[in-house]
Amino acid sequence: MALMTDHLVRRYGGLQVPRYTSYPSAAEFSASVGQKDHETWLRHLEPGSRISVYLHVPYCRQLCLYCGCHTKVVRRDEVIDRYRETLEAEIRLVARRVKEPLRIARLHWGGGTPSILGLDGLRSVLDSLARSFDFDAGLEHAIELDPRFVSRPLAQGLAALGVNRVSLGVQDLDDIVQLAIGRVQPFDDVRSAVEFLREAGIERLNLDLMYGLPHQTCESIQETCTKVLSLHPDRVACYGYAHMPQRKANQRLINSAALPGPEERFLQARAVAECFTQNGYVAIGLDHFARPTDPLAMASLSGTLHRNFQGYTDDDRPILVAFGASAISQLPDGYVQNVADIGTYLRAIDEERLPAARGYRLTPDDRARGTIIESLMCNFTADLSILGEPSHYVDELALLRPLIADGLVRLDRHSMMMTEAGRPFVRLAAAVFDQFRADDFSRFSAAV
Amino acid sequence: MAVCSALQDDEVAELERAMSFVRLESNTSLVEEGEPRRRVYTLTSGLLRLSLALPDGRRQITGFLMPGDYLGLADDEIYAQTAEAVVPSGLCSFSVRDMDRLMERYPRLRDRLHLMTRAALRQARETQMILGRLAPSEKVASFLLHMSNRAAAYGRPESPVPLPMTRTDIADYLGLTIETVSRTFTKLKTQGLIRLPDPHSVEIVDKSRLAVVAGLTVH
Repeated sequence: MALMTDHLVRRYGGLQVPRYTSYPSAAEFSASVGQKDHETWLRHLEPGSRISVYLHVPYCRQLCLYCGCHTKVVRRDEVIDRYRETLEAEIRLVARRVKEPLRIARLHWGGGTPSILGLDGLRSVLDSLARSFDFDAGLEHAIELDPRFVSRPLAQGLAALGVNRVSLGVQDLDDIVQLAIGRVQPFDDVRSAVEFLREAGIERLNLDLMYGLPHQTCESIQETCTKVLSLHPDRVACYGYAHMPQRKANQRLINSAALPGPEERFLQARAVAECFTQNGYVAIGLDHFARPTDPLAMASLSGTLHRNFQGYTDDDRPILVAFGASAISQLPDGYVQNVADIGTYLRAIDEERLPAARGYRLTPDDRARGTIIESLMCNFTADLSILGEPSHYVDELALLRPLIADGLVRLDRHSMMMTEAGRPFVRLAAAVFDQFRADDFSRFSAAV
Repeated sequence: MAVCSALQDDEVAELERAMSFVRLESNTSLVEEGEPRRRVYTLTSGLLRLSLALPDGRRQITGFLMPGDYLGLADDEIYAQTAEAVVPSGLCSFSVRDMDRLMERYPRLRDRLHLMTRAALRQARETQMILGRLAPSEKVASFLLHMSNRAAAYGRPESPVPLPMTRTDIADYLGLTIETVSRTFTKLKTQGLIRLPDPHSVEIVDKSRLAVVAGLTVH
C-alpha cells in the first residue's frame, strides 16, 4: 500500500491543478463581467434571502514571506482609515442595489489582517452593515486573526462586537520554519491568544496550518500538530504552501532549495491528517479537520458540506456578497471579483461605481460541472447523471480510466467515488470535469 | 532511405540514378487529388498533410506523412488525395515507369515496396480506429500514440512527438473543433499523461495510461 502510494505520488504529485474553491476557478474570470452585471445580479437576489458576507482588509503590519493573499504592508493609520471609510461606502452602494432586506447569516472578516482596522474601525463597519442589512439571530461572525496581535483587550472587544468564531493563522510552530517564512510567533503567543479568546467567550476556534513550507519535515509538522492538539481547537485547516515566486515578490525571499518536494509534501499532508484523525477529529474534504460535534463535521458526515473561497462551509445555499479590494462575490448568476488594486478600488467607490473588475457568468453546463466538482471536493463522490446520458460524458469517462486503473476512483454506472487511496488526488479527478482551457497551468498550486 | 535497406549496393546505385529530389516550401502542394499519377514519392524530411475536398467545399484531412512514408504507392491511375507540405519538406521521387522497370529487375525491391504498401494500408486502418473513437480524449490520445509509434517504427524517438501542423489541421483530421483539440491537450497534460514543452511537440509522459485513455488497452 505504502509502495503503491509512493508510486502514485511520483506520478501525480508534481501536477498543477486548481484548488477548486470555485468552478470555474478565479483564474478563469474575465473582464467580460463588470459593474453592469454586478448590479443586475444583485437585483436578482430575492428579498429576505439569507446571505454570507465577506469583508476583505488588504493590509498587514508586516508581510509574511509565504503569503499568497492580496495584502500590503501599511504603517500609516490614515491609509487604513481611508480604506475603512471606502469599505463602508461600498456597503452603502451595494445596499442601494439590492431589494432589502437581505439577512446576513454569516459574516467573515478576511485579509490581510482585518484586526488592523482596530475595534472602533471594525465597529464602524458593522454599524454600516447593520444600517442596510438584517442580522440573522444565529449569525456566525468570524474573523481571521494573527496570534501575534491578539491581546486580552482585543479578544474582549471582539466578543463585544459579536464575533463568535476566530481563525488563527498558526502555519507552523517550528522555530526554523518560522524564521524561514518570516513569521516568528512562539507557541506561547499562540497559546495566550487562544486563552484570551476563550476567556472572552469566543469558543469557536479554527487554527490554520500549512505544509510544504521551507525546512518543514514530517517530524517537525507532527510536533506542530501535537502542540496544536493541546489547544483543543474546534477546527483545523492545513493548506499546502503554493510557491509562486514569479507572481509574488515576497515569496522570492523564500529559499526554494529548502522547500519539500512533491513526495515530501504528500507525506506531510498525510502526517497532519493522521495526527488529527487519530486524536478524534473528523477529516473534512481535502484539508480540514473538525471535532465530531462541530457543524462542519456533521455537514461532512451528512453529505451537505459545501465549498467556498474560505475552504469548506456548512452554509447550505451559499450566496456570498463580498466587500473590499479583490473580494469575490458568489451570486446565483455567477462570480464577480472586485478590482485588486487598492487605489483603483478607492477611486471607483469615490465615484460611486461598483468596483467589479472581472467575473464569470454561469451557464447550465457550468453549474452541472460545478456541482460535480464541488461534490468531489466535499464528499469524494459525484453523481454524473446530472451531465445527462452517459453519451454526454464519454470524454470524462475516457479520462477517468487511468485513475480507475490506479485504484483512485471507482465508478458504478453514473455514480463516481474516490477510493480511500484516491482521496488525496481528488483535485485530479475534479479536473477531469473542468472545461476551461488554460494553456499555462503553472499559476496553480501543486496537486497534493 | 527505407526502401533501399533491402537492396545490394549495385541495386541502390541503380535506384539513385532513377531518383530525383524535390523540395517543398510550407503550404505548397505536391500533388492534387485526381491528378494522373506519374510519380511515386518518399518523404525524407518535414511533414505533409493529406486531404480530400468534400462536396460542400470543406476539406477532410485524411492523414499526415512523416519522413519514411510513401505517397502514391497504393493509388491507381490518379492520386487519391491532395498532398501539401506543412513545413519545408524534402522528398525523393521516382517516375512510376522507372519504378515498374526497376521492380521487374530487382525482386527484392518489389518485395520491399509490397511491404511499404502493406504498411500504408495498416496506417489507414489505424486512422480508421482513431476516427472511429467517440470521445475527443480518445481521439487525441490515439492520434498521439499513432504518431509516436510511426516515428518509432522508422527508428526515431517515441517521444517527444513532433507536431509541426497547426491545431486546426489536427482538428480537421480528428473531426473536432480547434477549441476541443486545445482543451483536450490541456486535459491530457493536467492528468500527467503528456507534457507540452512547446506548441509543436508533445512529450508522452505515460504511454500505457495514454493508451488506456485512448481505449486501446483494457485496464
